Amino acid sequence: MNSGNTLQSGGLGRRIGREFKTELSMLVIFVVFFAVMSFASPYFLTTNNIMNVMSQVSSTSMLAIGMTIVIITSGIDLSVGSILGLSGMIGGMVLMNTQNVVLGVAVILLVGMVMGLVNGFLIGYLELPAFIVTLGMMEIGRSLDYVISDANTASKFPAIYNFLGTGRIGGVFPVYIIFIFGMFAIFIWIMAKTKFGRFLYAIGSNKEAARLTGINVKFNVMMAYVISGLMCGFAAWIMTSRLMACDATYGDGNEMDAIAAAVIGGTSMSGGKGTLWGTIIGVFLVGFLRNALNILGVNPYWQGTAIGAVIVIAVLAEKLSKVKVKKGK
Amino acid sequence: MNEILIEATNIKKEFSGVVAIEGIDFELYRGEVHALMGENGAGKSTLSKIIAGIYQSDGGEMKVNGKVENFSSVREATEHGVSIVTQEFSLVPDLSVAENIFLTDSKYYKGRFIANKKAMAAETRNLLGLFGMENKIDPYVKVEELSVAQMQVIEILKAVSTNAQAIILDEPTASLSVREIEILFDIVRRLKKSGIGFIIVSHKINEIYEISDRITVLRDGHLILKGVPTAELAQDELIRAMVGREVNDLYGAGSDVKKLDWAHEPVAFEAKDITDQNGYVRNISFQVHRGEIAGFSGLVGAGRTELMRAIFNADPRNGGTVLVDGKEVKGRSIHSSIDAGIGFVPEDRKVDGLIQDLSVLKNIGLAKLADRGGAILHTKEAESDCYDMIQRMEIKTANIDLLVRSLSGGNQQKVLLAKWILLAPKVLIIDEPTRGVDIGAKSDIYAILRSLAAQGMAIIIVSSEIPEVLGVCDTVYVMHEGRVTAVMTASEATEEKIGYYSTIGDGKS
Repeated sequence: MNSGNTLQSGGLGRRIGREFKTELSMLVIFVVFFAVMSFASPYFLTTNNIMNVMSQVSSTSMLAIGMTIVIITSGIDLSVGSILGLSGMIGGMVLMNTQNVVLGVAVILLVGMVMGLVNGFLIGYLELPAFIVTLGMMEIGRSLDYVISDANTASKFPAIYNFLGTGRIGGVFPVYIIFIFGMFAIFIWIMAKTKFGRFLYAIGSNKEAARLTGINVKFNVMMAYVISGLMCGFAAWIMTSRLMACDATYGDGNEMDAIAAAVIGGTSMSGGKGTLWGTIIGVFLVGFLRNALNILGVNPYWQGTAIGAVIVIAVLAEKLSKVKVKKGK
Repeated sequence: MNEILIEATNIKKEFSGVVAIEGIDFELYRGEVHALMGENGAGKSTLSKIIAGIYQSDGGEMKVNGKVENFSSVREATEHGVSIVTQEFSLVPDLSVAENIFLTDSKYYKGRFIANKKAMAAETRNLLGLFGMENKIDPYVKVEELSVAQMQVIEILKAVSTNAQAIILDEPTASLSVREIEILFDIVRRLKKSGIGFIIVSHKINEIYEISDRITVLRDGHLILKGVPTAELAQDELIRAMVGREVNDLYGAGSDVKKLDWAHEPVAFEAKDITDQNGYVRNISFQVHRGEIAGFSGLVGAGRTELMRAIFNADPRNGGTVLVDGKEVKGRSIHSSIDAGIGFVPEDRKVDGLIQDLSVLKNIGLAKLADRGGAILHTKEAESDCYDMIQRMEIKTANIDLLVRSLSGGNQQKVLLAKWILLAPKVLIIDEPTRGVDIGAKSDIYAILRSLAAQGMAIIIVSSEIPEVLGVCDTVYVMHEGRVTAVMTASEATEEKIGYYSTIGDGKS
C-alpha cells in the first residue's frame, strides 16, 4: 500500500516519540526527581508515603481530567472548585438525610453535570467567553454552597460510603488508586480513539475549519464542559468519601491545581494540543513535589514558589521547543 | 551606469543544520524593481528576510551603499534604509493611519511621550499626496477599517517615511484585486523614479512581467538565474528555471485523461434563487452537469465566496434552494450539505481549511470521520485512506504524523483537497484552488481536478486568476457586485471579456 512512496512511517516507537515529545520530556523530569528524592529521604519511597500522596491528589486528578479536555477545546473552566464544593454539599446533605448511598452519589454526579451543562450551553451555543462564564459560575457555585449549607458541615454519612475514599480491596489495595487510573484510562481512550476526542482537538486547534468540515462545534464544546462538570462530581465523591464529611470550603482554589497539572503536562492554553498522559504526570509531579518539600522540612511558605516555578519552566520548555521547530522549517 | 544599492555575495543560511540557501549572490540597483522568484521553499523568503534583518546569515557578505553591514534586527535594517513589507502586516489595527505610520518616530511625540496627532496627520497627508491618494485615505481613520490593499499602501508609506532606499515587498498582491494591484504598481513606479529600489518576492508570473526590471530565480536554495533583465527572459524559460522541468502544459489541456462529454451528462447540481444572508448576492441560479468544471470569475468582493458559502450552508442564507442529483438539500446545516454530497474547500486554507496542529493523517480523515465515522476510530482504515490519498495526489510529506503546518503551501492545499475527495462528493466547490501554491503543485492540482471531472464529479471553482479559469473550466460565470453578469463557454471566454464583465456588468440581469 505504501510502495512507490518515500514515506518513512517509522516503527511504533518512533511514532510515539513524535506524538508525545512534551509528555516524554516531562516523564524524564518526573523520574529524575523521583530518583533523587528516593536517595534524599528514606521516607519518600515508602508504600505509605506514595499512597498518601495518591490520596491527596485523587480529587485534583479528577478535576485535571476535565480541565485538560476543556483546555484542549481552547476553553477554560474556572468553576471546577466551586462545582466540586456545591455538588459535594448537595449530595452530602442528601446522604446525611436519606442515608441512601446510591441516591447520594447520583445526586453528586448529577449536580456536577447540570452545572457543566449550564457552562457548556452558554459557551458552546451562545458563544460567550469561557473565562467569564466559568468565572461567574465559580462565584455562583461557591455562594450557593454557603447558602445551602449555611456554613454548616454535612456529615454522619452511612459507614459504607467511605469505600471509594479509604476502602481497600482484600484489605490491601486502595480502591481510590484503581479508580484514579481507571478514570485516566477511560478518558485517555476517549481522547485518542473516539470521534468525540478527535473532534475536540480539531475544534481547539481551528474552530472554523472544524465547522466547515461538518463537525457540530457547538454540541461538542458543550459536551466538554458537561464532562468537566461530571469530573467535578467524581472529585466531590472521592473527597467526601475520604473525609466522610463536606463543608462549604471544599474545593476552594482547586481549579488552579487542575490548571497547573494540565499545563505542566504539556497541554497548551491556546487549545488543540496536549494529552491526559501529560496530565497524569502533571498531577503527580505537583503532588510529589509538595510532599517532598514537606518531607525535607522546607518551610511550607516556599511551596507556592516551587510549584509556580515548575509551571513557568514547563511552559518555557514548550515555547523553546516550538521555536526550534519553527526555525527548522 | 546603474548604481548598486544592495550587494549580497555568497549568502548562506542554515536552520538547525539544514541548509536553506547557499551561495546566493544578489544585487539591487537604485531605482529598479527586482523580482525574486522561485517556488515555495526555494529560499526567496529566507533571502529577503536576511536582507531585511529578520534573519542573520550564516555566511557571505552583504553591502548596503558599499558598506559592509550585518543587520541584527529589522530596526537596524530600517535605520540603514532597508524596509520590508510582509504578508503579515505590522500595523496596529486600533490606531489611526497616521499613528501607525509614525509609531516609532520620536519626532512626532511631544517630550518623547505624547503623540502629536496633528503633526502626524499633516505629514501623512503629504505622503498620501505623493500618490494622489490624499482624498482616498483619511489619516485619522483606524487601520482596522481599511482594506487589505490600503493597509499595504500604509505599510509602504511607513517605509517611505523612514527614508527607505530599498523596500522589500513579500507577495504583495496575494490578496488584492486587479484594480488594487494597478494602484499598488502605480505607487511602486512613482517611488522607483525617485531612486528607491524594490525587491518583489512573488510567483505570479504575469505581474512580474508587468512591473519588474530584472529577475533573480532561486530553486532549492540555490541561485538559478541572477539579475536577468525581464525583457530578455522568455516566460517558458522563467518557468523552467523556477520549476526545474518543462511545464508547457500547465492546465493539462493535452493530457490523456478522457474527458466526459459533460453537456450530455445529467445535471448533478442546481442552485435556485440563492440569496445570501446580507442580501448582497441575490437570486442567483445555475446548473452544473456531471463531469463539468464551472468557474466563477470576478473581482474580490464580487460576492463569489458569499454565494458558495450560502450554497454550502457555511453561512445562513436568505433564500433559495440547492439540488443535488435533482433532490433538494433539505437541512440548513453544513452537515446536511455534506450528507447530500457537496464538498467545500474554503478560500483560506490556514484560517478556514486545515487544522494546522493536527497531523496529515488526522486532517485527511476528518471530513470522512465527521460524515460517516462511528463513535470509535478505525485507525487502520484511516491510515490506508491516508496513504491512498498521499499517493494519488502526490503529497510530499516525510510521514503521515507530520503536522500539516510544516508542509509547503502546495502540499497543504493537496491535503485540504484530499480531505474532501476522500468523501467522494458528487459536487465539489473549491474557492481559490491554487492560491499561494507553486507551479509544480498547481499543475498537479489541475490534473487532479480534471481526473475527478472525468470520473463524473461536478466541480465548481471560484478563482481570481483569469488564466486559471480559462485554462481549467468548461463554463465561465462572471460576477460583479453580487450578480452574475455573464455566462460563457470556455471557447467563448477571453481575458478581455471576463475583465469587462467583472468591472461593469452588462446592465441587464
